[in-house]
Amino acid sequence: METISTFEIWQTFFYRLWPVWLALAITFFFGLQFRKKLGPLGYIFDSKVGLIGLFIVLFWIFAAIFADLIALFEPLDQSGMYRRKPPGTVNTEAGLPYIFGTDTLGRDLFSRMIYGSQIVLLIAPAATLVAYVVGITLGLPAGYIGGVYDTVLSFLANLVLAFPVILLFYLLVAPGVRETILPNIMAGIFFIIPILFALMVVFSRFSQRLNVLIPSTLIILFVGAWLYSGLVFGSDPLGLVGIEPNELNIFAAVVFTTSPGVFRIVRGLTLDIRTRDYVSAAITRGENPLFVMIWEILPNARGPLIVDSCLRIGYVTILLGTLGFFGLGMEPESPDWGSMINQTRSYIRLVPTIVLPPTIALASFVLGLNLLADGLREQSLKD
Amino acid sequence: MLVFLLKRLIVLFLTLICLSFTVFSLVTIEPNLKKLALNQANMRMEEDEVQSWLEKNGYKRPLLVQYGEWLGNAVTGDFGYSTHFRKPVNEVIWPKLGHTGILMFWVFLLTIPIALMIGVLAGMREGTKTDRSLSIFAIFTTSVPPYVSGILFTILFSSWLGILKGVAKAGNITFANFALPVLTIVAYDIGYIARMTRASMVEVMGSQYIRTARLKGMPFMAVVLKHALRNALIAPFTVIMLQFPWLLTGVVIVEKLFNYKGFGFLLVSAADQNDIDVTLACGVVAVVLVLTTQLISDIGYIFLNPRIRFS
Amino acid sequence: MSTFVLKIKDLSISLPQNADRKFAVENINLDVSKGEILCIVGESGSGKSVLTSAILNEVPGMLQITSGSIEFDGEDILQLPQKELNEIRGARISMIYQEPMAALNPSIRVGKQVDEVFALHRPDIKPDLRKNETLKLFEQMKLPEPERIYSSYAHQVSGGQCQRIVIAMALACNPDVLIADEPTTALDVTTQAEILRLISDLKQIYKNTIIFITHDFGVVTDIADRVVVMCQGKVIEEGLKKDILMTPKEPYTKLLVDAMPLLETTRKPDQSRTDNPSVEVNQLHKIYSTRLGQVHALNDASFVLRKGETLGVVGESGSGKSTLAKTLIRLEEPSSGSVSIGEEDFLALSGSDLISSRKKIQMIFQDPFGSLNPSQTVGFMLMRSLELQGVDPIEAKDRSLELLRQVGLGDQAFNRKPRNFSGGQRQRIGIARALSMGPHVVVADECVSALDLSVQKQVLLLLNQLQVTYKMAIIFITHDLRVAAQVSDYITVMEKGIMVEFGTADDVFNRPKHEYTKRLLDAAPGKDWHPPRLDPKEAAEIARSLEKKF
Repeated sequence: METISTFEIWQTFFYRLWPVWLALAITFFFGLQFRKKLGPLGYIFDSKVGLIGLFIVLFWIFAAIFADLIALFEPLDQSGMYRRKPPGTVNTEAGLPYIFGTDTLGRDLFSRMIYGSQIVLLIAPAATLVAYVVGITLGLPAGYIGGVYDTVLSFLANLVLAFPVILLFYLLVAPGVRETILPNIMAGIFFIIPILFALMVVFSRFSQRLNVLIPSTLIILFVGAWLYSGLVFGSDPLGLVGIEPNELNIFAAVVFTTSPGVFRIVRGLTLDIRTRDYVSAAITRGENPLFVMIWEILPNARGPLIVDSCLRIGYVTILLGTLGFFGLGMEPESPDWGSMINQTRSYIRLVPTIVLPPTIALASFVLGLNLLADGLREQSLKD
Repeated sequence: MLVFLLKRLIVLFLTLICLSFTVFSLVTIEPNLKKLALNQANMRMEEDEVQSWLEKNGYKRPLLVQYGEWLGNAVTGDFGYSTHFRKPVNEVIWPKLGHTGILMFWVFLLTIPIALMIGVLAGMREGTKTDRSLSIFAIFTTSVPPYVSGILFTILFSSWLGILKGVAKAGNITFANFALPVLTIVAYDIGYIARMTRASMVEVMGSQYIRTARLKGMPFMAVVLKHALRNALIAPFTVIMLQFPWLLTGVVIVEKLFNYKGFGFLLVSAADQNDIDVTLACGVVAVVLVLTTQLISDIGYIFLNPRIRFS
Repeated sequence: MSTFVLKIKDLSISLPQNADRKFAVENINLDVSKGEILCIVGESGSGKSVLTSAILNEVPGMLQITSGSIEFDGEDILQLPQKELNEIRGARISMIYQEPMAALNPSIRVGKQVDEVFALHRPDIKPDLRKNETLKLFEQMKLPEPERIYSSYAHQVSGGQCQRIVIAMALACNPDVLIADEPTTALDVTTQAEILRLISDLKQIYKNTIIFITHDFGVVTDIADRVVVMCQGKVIEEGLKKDILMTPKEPYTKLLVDAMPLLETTRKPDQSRTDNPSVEVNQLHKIYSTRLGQVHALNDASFVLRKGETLGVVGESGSGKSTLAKTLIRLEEPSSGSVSIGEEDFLALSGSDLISSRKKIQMIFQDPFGSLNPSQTVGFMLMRSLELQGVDPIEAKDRSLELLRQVGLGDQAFNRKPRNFSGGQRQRIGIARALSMGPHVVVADECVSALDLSVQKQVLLLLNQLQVTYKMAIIFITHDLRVAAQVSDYITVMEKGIMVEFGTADDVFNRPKHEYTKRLLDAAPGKDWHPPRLDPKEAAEIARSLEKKF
């Protein structure tokens, strides 16, 4: 069987990734040029650790964007002839090398790893974002108004947090659950909150200025209804927005397990910030509580929240990997990193390298996020 | 203080009821029960036969009634019958929990001293080389989830070096077959606790009373040991206890990865095999464990912190 | 044998790279004579604290000693190995701190912390006798119930008592030099007076040299032998107390002394006015329920204030003056009583009526760094206030710019965020924000106490000017009797929630009736000092020339 040398493997690897290198070069060039104008995010260029983190995270973002250009094979293409081949084996029919080898169905590990980043980089940040909006929408009033509302919500958040995550996943992402309407109910609740939040943002700021308030409210309602119908009911009239039932299930479960943590952080920050004098000043000039929460408190919580969101995206990536590892929720064919690890790990005695692409991909992406968070925290402390 | 503890206990009890009810209602959803019916009675049952089977076995009653019945039994120590092992749940779950207990014991024994030491050493002098390298090491370990590090360790120590075994057999513990699972969990947990300890240590070392102690003429190490340590360890203590749910997840992953037939393995296989009573029991035991550690954390916090103890 | 205990030579300490100046302290030469009390005076950021921390060779982490020497007992402290340094620290040179509560370890009994000093430096005292020594010290510090205090934790004793414990710790080994870093700044006036007296009394016994750092000329007057004035990391002037206080030579010192408010009243209200009051407060009470019982934080407060008048509310911490402010503007609901603003019963309002009437009473806050939202531009703050009153955006912008000019800031302030401004400028923005609502009443809660003296003076002048223009009634809350004397028509003195005295400023200051008022006036530091005044024009001239220099 024809093979290429280790040097040629890495040569091909670097060559195939040219769109990523180009995009990274452009990003860092402009980032350095305009670091002063980037505000708090510009400080990341002063931290070595943060810069390495940013590099790794951007690497995966660009890999996901340019996956079609980078991959050598289709991620789902199987080949009976080339099963569990070591790195460097050449597919003589196509004349292309399997630079990281193939899995047990003869699929190219390199291409699957690159396409896998698309799944992770779509679901993890999106789920974190929704979890954030949910956590913020519930956490701000819990910290600001307190009372019974706070007691009830904090109790509920602690309930969810007391579950070992894995138990929760086995209960929420099981095939049986997908036959019920539970995932749709959960998604229905989680997706309505961002729409409500957007409405509150606009209303609190422009309640005095109807000429801005009315059009923006209409836009939010229209776009919200469109996305909502596509995501929750799977019936987008335009057919543009949609999500597979199993992905919706995963999404809802991840948001459900992540948002209580966000809730707790936001609540804690709110409790701290509400004692500041500028909040008192806003109250005494006659602002309503909505404005105080969204426009006086929330912007000043952004530093810790940005740091936390980096860590949390990493954590959600690990969660998604866990789901794949246990074979929960994901399509069996799916090239996501967790599933890849699960499918290849039985063969490490035969071909030890078979499990390396997905494991290193996952660990490096999480590491990048954690380093980035550390850099951001360090710089925000200096500020 | 007693009032505080009493309040905590009431909340804890309430939490337990809510959580066990959630587990109960999610485990006994219709599709799972139907599968159970098909499995138990006859694989080729028609839909109406399934319904009548469910009716006969009491699964058609209101959820609350079923939960009440289950709870009543559980309180008296009867967790039902395992359809997979074909014996009472009690005979299945407790030995497995024992196996996991041994695993956890070793994990704690290694994690806590190492993590605290790393954290204290790093936080003692902020910004030094030791601090930077230990912190990055800690970040590194938290970035690698157990299902990745476990596999990498297996390749390294088992496939390549051949000194350790990639499969851990419960009940027959030797260093060779037990080291990898322990190492995997320890590696994942150390980073988090170490970072917490470091943050807390840095904060304490920057406080005015540490300066007072230094300017009294106390040598640096004495300041660290006598004045900083105690205050710096309050926060990590609560963290160690509160991250128990997280630790449990790590244990489940590792037990599955190394085929170690403990509590986590039981939980996963019971859920996969639709073994309803075992899944329920596992879920509730997990939750009880978590809540117990939370209570310990509360008591410990009061005990360690005189500012709360005396007010 | 020289009479100098400490000789500081050419000391420079550098700041981290991105700081606004290169050195925290620069080329300091200073000799400290044996047995004297040397006061180092300076405004915030003058480098006085850094200088003293260098004496014990313990500068904060980001700073670095780049040159110079500190000679003590024939040796350079900066060159000593750690072990010998530790033998000097706490035994021969010791220190007391600004925040006594924070200076004590929260989880070790305070007595044990004093014992430690004996353990470290007095091997001749056997371990079981240390407690006795500590108790003796506690008695000398006039601490009540030494036994009880010995086994207390820091949070269980008061601020003044904490400071006595820290002083006991510092004096345990009878040091040659005692460094006191603003030891009374965080304390109330009466406690401050007691601690100052204690320090002078103890000096009679221990005969040590004291280096006393303060920003307060009043304290200098009461305690110093010799004075060093610092600014921007440099020594500006050095001399005997009476020279510096009465005939300062350097322009900066002159300005500093001039900024010290006099303890003399300046305003005489027209007591025969019968026009409608701007604000009328009747039998206002506020009771907090805590686990330990009820606290009567505000007990029967009543007063009337008319257009353009200022009421000074004076009291120590915990006297209820801040509670008064918060209940007046309804950040907290009073337990009973009434507040009328203009014709309107302010306390009876609720819902949207309350929200729309809130503009009539506005507040200026104490902390210039906490009172402006760091994520909003100054323009947004002012525009938003006006927008809430229904002003359209174009007019709101014009009005905001005008307000900024009125408080002495240029148009360029409009698009900036608070972090670009100094403390004094922020306080001006705070004033502009309050005025943008067009209030009838302004509550100023310690609004100048976080500012340096020179800045404080300008802000007070500005407030005075604006009151002439806008005719609002001001309720001016302060712990500083001098400031109150400068701005008030009427004064009320509060103690434990009760207004123990109320009268015109002249009456209260010159003919106090209540015991507590007399005690407060008596405790005011430097009350017998009448600082020389500069001609306002001359002062402005000096200020301008100094601005160029720094």
